[in-house]
Formats: sequence, structure tokens, C-alpha cells
Amino acid sequence: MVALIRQIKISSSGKEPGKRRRGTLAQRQSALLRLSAEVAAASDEAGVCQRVVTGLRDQALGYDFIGLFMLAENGDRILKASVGWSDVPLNWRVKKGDGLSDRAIADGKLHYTASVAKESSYLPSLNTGSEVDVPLKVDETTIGVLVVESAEPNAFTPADFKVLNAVADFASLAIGRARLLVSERRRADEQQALLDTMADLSGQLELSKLLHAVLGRAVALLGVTGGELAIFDEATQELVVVASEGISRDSSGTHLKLGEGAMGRVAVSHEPMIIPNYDEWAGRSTKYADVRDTVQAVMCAPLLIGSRLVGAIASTHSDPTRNFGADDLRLLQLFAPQAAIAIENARLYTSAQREKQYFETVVLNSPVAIVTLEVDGRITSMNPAFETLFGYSQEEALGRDLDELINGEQTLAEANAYTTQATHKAAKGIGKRKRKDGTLIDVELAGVPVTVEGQNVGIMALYHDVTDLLQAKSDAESANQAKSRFLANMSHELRTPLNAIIGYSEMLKEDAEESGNDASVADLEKIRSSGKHLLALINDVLDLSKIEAGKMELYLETFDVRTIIDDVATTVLPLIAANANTLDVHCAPDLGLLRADLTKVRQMLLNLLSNASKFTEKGRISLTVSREPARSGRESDFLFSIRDSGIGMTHEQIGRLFEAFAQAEASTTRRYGGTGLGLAITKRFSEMMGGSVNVESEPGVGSTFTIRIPQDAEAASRPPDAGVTDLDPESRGTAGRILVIDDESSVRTLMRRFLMREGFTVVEASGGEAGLESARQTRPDAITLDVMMPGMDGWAVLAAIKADPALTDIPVIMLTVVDDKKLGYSLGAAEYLMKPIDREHLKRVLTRYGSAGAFLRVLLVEDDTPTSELMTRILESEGWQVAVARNGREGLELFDASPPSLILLDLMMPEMDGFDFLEALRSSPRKSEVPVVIVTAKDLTPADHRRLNGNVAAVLQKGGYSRDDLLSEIASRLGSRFRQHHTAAPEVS
Amino acid sequence: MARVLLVEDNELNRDMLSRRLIKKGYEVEMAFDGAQGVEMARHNQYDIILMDMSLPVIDGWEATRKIRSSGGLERIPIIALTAHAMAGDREKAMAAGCSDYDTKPVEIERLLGKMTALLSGGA
Repeated sequence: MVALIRQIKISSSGKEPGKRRRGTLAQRQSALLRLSAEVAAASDEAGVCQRVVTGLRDQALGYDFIGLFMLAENGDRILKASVGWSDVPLNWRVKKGDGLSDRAIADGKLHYTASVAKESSYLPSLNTGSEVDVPLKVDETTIGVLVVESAEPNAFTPADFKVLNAVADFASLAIGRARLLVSERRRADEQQALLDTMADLSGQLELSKLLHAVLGRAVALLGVTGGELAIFDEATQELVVVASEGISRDSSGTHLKLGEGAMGRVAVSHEPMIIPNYDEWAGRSTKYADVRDTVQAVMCAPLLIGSRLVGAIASTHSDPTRNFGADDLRLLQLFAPQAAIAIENARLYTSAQREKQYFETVVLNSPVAIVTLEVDGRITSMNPAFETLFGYSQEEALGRDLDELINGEQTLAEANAYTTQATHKAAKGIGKRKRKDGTLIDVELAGVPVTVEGQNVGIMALYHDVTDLLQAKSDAESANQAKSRFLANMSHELRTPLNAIIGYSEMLKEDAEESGNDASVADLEKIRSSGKHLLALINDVLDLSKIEAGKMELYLETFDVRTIIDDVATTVLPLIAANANTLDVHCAPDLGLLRADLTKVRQMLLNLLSNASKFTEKGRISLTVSREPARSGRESDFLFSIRDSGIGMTHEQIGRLFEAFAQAEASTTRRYGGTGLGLAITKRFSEMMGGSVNVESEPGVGSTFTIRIPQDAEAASRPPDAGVTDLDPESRGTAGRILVIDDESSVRTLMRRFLMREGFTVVEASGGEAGLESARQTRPDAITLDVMMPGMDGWAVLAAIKADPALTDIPVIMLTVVDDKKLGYSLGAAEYLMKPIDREHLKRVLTRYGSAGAFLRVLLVEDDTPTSELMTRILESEGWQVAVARNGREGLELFDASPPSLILLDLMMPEMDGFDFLEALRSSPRKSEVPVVIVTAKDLTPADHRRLNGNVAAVLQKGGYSRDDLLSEIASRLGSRFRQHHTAAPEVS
Repeated sequence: MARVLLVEDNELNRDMLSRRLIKKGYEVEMAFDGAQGVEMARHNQYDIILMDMSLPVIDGWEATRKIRSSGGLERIPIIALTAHAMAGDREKAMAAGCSDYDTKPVEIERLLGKMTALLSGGA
């Protein structure tokens, strides 16, 4: 502790002790007035101080040594002005507690020390005799001290105290005023600087530039030598320094954990902090061990938006004498939230910018044509792929209606339906679109609504050229067909010579048997049986390759299981007997009807039974047929179990059992014969029909094979997403195909059950889009359509069907609770039925539209029995129901009993001839709707033609038409009838 | 004994089947293509026709239809013979007007059984 010692040289100048030379009272008062005027006129604190000491030096007042100290924040006194103290500099600092003048500061009162030399608490300075210390106070707060000294002891009198008190008072006043002015001005300047800063920052949206600008501004604003800016990474919960200025090294990239170092602390506390001596601060991060030269004091603040941490900012002084004060802190606290918002904005903008750029790059380079539309369908933007695909430039396409731009007449309505849907829901499809040059391309298309805050603002449409893809698909399909044809031909070519080999060896064998040539008999039998084996192989290989190629078709028919079992048992009996086995058949008589491929079921049963007899000797083989509830909600399954008491199989053998060419052992083939393909084929067949084959076996005990086939193999074999099996029209037999479009699964189930019971094939779709897709794929004979469906509703589906040339001929029957027949018929519905549906009514309607099925009833009015029998056979073989009337009267009776879809009419008949029949028919509007085809041997006269004119669909001359002519005539009549229904509302019977 | 018209273009099959039928006591006449088969059926009296389906000029299905639509032949038994041992062929043959159907290679006993059934009035 060393007290400050002033080296003050006070000149004695030969004056007397205790007496000072001074002017008259008037002179003194005048000097004081001058002094007060001067002080009042001072513009700042320094000026006030200077004028106070200068004024007191006036000769009239007689003070020689004067100093004016102001208090620093820590209580030290700092010399702001002096007279006669030639040995101390301005801003000379006296620590709090030192010196005589400290007392005046401590109690806020004037202190007079008549003899400085006697003061023990004060180390006497040279030549100071006496001293007066007067505090300067503003609002009762001491802000400084005026010190007046004399070389002589006892140099001052109460009159001096009065003068000095007065001077101290108005000096205090002037200083208070000056300080207020400075702080006001500083605040104004700060506000301006802050405003400038913010204006500057808010214009900067590029994040990296902004971060440096923020830091630069902060450094300038706070008048510091350096600083750092860090942003908070929420993912890693770390601060990352992104900009630094004026410290030893660029600290950018430094990671600070929460709580680490100064910025880490403020990030946790959410409060700013000042660190006067950073080098000694215990909380310093080790990452900042080397910045001593540039960082002395640190002031740090979190960057917050509300309570959310965005980052932290630090400002640093390199000058060890400078520290941060309340003003600095206040300024930083003003700055920090603004900086936080500017950074956050730039971050959001940058990430939005990045996303936008990413999206634009994708769109620009996408091979998919992308176009955006107004809600009304006009084009607002398009990508280069769109230009390439359709051939239109931006100038040509922008503002145009997209659908009109890229559609011909045929596809416009369909495209409109997609666009309409895309205003509120994603739409997808495949279709043909037109290029600028008029060529058509196949495209896969998608339309999606663009919504902003729940508002539909437009549509985005995508087109992908699938022309090549479809071409490749069709090429592959035709190649596959060629392969199938090759297989079919090959099998024919192989079997023809085999036929001869087997036949001749059989004949020769018979001859040899008759002539008793036993040696030849055995050899000829070897040729014959080898031929048979080869034939079986060829058949199996052919079957298998057809299955693999997906070309094996199901020919479904409904049959009584009992009959097929009897047939199979008879066929297999010789085989059973060959190994001295017995066959037990268990089959209840009332098992019901099975809808499946009869030939394949037969082949499967024969395969398993011949296997069983092959691997069993002197044993029992049983065939049991039963029914069991189906695993998946279907009606119920048929189970065919073939049990034998033969050699059985091990677990390993069973594993490979159903693979092609995999008999239990290679040697088995030699010993037991067979192709090794039977089980593989059996398994595939059962799977095609939606069933399965299982086996249980025990070596030495026997095996049980069980075939499971669903009651309706057709419904079961068509998984909803798989392509529909293409059935030969001839094999479709009696069934019309009906597409049921309804979003209610319970309705679909009811319809399926009902329609299948009536012999229809049913395809289901649970919504408008799926329905359209399904209609295109399956080409049903009729469609039943619900109106109220989510997404694409029934009206939209109906419009799209009627707009598609490929679908327009399919009759659509509306099944709905919505009572708007007028709209339905105007959109092209064939029939309009209200829910709840009257099943009989629906059946009648569907029967009328169910295409070439048994549901088409033909009324044949013909008196000649051979002719009617021949025509009946032809028609029935095509699956029609035929009612025969022998004359016109019978014809009318039959018509009334059950209205037909078509009438074949002879003209020359007894009782009531064809002309009269027609007239009677035409008198009823309902009956006159049914098309009539005249089949006659009569040479028609012009008068006859007039009578028939407009009343019949066609005239066929007996003997002049072939069976095919007749059938195609009928088909075309029915086709044209469908079209009639689209233009006129039909009468619902 | 019954008169049989065998319509078959393949020489070996024709020879083989005819010899076996003759051996069983049938009287056999042969046509080499569909058109000839229709001609012979219309102009001669046969008790039964065995019709191959893959035939030149006109095929077996068409020949069958033509025979059926000729006066007086609506009921003559026609058995379709085809190497197309495919499901669907049976229906196709029956639709064309055949009375029965058998696959090639012919199993003579089975064929004879079908012929006997048809000839004894089972049609």
C-alpha cells in the first residue's frame, strides 16, 4: 500500500503565512459572476472543469493551486482540470480512500485542513500548508471534488468556504447538465447507429455475408477491438463460431458445447455477462488459451428470439485499461435481439432458397414433362422436358389450356376428367396425348392439386413418355405369343409321328399275339410303352412350359364333383389293379357344384392316384372328397384327399417333391416310371385355381396328398392387383363379365355373391379411378356404378367412360341413392336403378346387357323342325338360351312369359305368320325395342320389303348364310342395340 | 357292318386307323381333306364319321358345320379326333356340331367304345 505522493512545487513567492493577497469584495464578486457565466456557457464536462479552475485563479479571488477531480465508477478520483499543479497530468488517478480529499467524498461535506503537516492520515506532500476540499454533488450524489491548496498553513477563512461552496454548487449543476446532454446525445447517436445497422442487416439475406456484417456492425457500434459470432446448431446442441474479428486468429469453425466458455455460458443462462480480465477468468474455454494478446475484457450476450436460442455474440477489448460498462451492456442488449432476428430471417431465407434451387434443378433436369396450371387449366409454367415431349415452346404454351393443347377430340373428355379431379385430388392414368406435330404418344400421367394454406392455387401435371415402354411390352407379348404358338405347333408335330409309332407297335403286337410270336410281343410292348412314356413327357413338358409362360388358361365350368370322381375312378382302375391295390372312394352325393377347370381337376386327380398306385403294392388307396370352410371369407373349399399305404417319404424327400423333375431319388424314375413332372403340374394347377396341394407322409406307412380348390376357382384365382386372366370368348361359356364400381365393400360383396350365383363373372373396383382402370383392362360386358364415392365420383366415371371410344359401348347401369335419372341418362347411362336394389330387376337388366352369355335369350319363331333344331344347336353351343315357337302366336306368348334379347323370325308360318307377328310386336313400344332378324327361304318382293322396312334389323336368306354369318349378325345386332341405349333413355321394365 | 368315313390327312394315321377298324369288321372309306370329307358325306351313306380337326382346304370344325347344315345329316354321329389335347378343344368340337370327341394318339379300345355307343343309338 503506497499512498500517492504528489510532487507539487508551490512557489512561496515571498508571501506572508496565513495571509493571501486578494482583490476587493466588489472585485471578488465580479470575478465570481464572470466565473459562473463562463461555466454556464461551457458545452461539455471538460469545458466546465477547465473554466472552474481557470476562474478560481482570478487574481481577485487569490487561489493559486486548484484541482478538480471527478469520481470514476469504482470510486477512484480522476483529475480533470488543475491550475498550479504543473507536475501531474490530466486524468491522474487517485485511488478511493487515499488523500485528504477522500473525506469530502466520503461524507459529502466541505473539509478544511488548516495544517496539512499535522494530518497523520495523509502523507504530507511537499510544501502544502493548508487545503480546502469541496464535494461536487448532483441530486445528493457526490460526483467529484474541488481541491484548493495553499503553501501556507491556515491560509483559508470561512469567506473562502462560502465562495468555494458556491462555485462547487454551480459547477456541479453545469456538470450534471453537460452529462445529461452527453448521455442524451449518446443515446440518440446509438439509436441512429442501431437503426443504420438494422437497415443494413435486414437488406442482407445471404447468410454467410450477413453473419460477418452483424459482427462488423457490433464491433463498430460498441467501439471494441474485436468480437465473435456463433450460431446454435439445434441438432448437435452446440454453438459454432461463424465469424470472428480482431482476435489473434480466425476462430471460425470452433465448436462450443452449451456452458463452455463465455458464449456457452450466456447460451445457457440467457443473460449477458462481462468478464473484466479474460486471461484470469476461470470459465475460459481451453480453445481460447492463445488469445491473451488480443482479448483482455470480454462482453458476451446470447442471441435469442423470445426464449429460443439462435446463437451468441462476444465483443472484446485488447486494451487492458478498458473495461465494459453499463452503457456498453445496454447497447449490446439493444443490438442482440435485432441481430438474432436478422440471422434467423437469413437462415430461413437461405434454406427456402436452397429448397427452391433444389426443386428448380429437379424440374429443369427431369426427364418427366412437368407443367403447372391455374385452377382453370391454363398453363403457367413448364419444364424443358415438356417442350421436348410435346414440341411446344414456352411462348406457344404459356396461358393456353393444357388439355386443349395436347389432346385430340378422342381424348379431350378423358383429359378433362383427369384435370377436374386433379383440382382437389391426385389423379393418375395412362393415355394417348397429341404432340404439336399431330403425332400421338402414349403417356403415363399424374395430376396433383397445389394447395397453399388449404387453398387450391393450381395443378401440377406430369407426363412420362411410355410409348417405347408400351411398344416393348407389346413386342414382348408378341414374342411370348410366338413362343406359345411354337410350343403348340411343336407338340402337334411331335405327337403326329408318335401317334404312328404307338399305333403301329400296338397293331404289330396284336398280330404277334394272334400268331403266338411271344418274343416279338414283349419287344413290341417295349416300343409301345416307350412311345407312351415319351408322349406323357411331351404333354407334361408342354403343360409346364405353358404354365411358366403364363399361357396356361383356365376353362372354368360349373360341374357336379360326383360325376368327375366316378369318371376318374374308372379311368384309374387298371393302374390300381396292376399293383394289386384296392381303391376306396368316399364322396357324399350332395357335395354341391364346383366351378373350376374340369379337365385340370381330372388331370390332377389322375396324377395323384397314379402316383399312389405306383408307389403302393398290395395296399389300399383311398380317394375322399369333402368340403371345408374356406380360409379367406370365400364360400367353402373342396378337399380331395388321396391316401395310400405305400412306401412313404422322408421329410427331406417331401421338401423337393413339387419341383419339376425331382422324384424322391433318381433311381425312382427307373423303378417306377413317370415323368417326374406330375406333382409340379398338379401344384401349379391348384394354385391357378386359387387352391393348394399339401402332403403328409411317413416312410413305410404311406402318404396323403390333399388338393384344396375353392368353390369358385375363378373368383379365387384373380387377385385384385394381378392382371385379369384373358379368357377365350368361347371358353367364357355362359358368363357375362360385370364390373361393379362401389366404394362400399359390403355392397360389393352382396353384388358379387348375387351376380356369381346368377353365373356372371364379377370384377370389383372400390373407387372411380380404379373402376376406370379396371374397365380398360377387363373390358366388361356391363358396369354397375355408384354415384356417391370419394375422389372421382360416379358422374365423373360415367363421363370418362362415355368419352373413351374403347369403353363407350359398354352399358353402364347406375346403382345409387341419388335420384337424378335425368343427369344419369344425359351422361349416357344405360339404366338407372335406385338403391336399395331390387335384385330381380337388376338381374333382368343385366341379362339384357350381359353380352354373349346364356343370359341372352333368343326367341326363335320357326315352324320347320329340322331348321329350328339346327339353329337351336348352333345358338346353344354359343351359350344362348333359346326359346322355340312354332308360329307367331306361340311367339307372342313366349315373349310375354320372358322377354328375349333378340328374335329370329321366319316369315312363312301357319296360324300367324312373321308379318303379323311383327305388327303385333310393334304395337307395344316396349316390345318393339327388341331387335328382330328375319331368317327366311322366301324371295322377298318389294311389297314385303316395305312391310318389313324399319321394323327388322336384318334379313338372312335360308341356305344363303353360314353359321358364322348368323352369329356375327346376332352379335352386331346386339352391339347396335347397346348404342341405341346410350342416346335414348330406355324404358325400365 | 357299319360304314365309317375317316377324314384324315396324315397318311400314317389314316393307314393305321383304317386297318385297325377294318380288322374289327368296319367298312372304311377315307377322305384326305375337309372339303372332300364334306363331299363324300353328302353323297354317300355312312353310319359314322371320324373327323380329324387339323385338315387342309377346310378344317374339321368347318367341315363338321357344313355336314351338319346339309339336308339329312343333322343326326349322323361325328367323332372329332384331334392331337390338340388341350382343354377347350372338346368344347370347340362339340360347338361345331360333333357328337363326341377323342384325342390322338388314338387309344383304339376307347375309340371303339365311343363308336359303339353312338352307333347303338346313344346319340
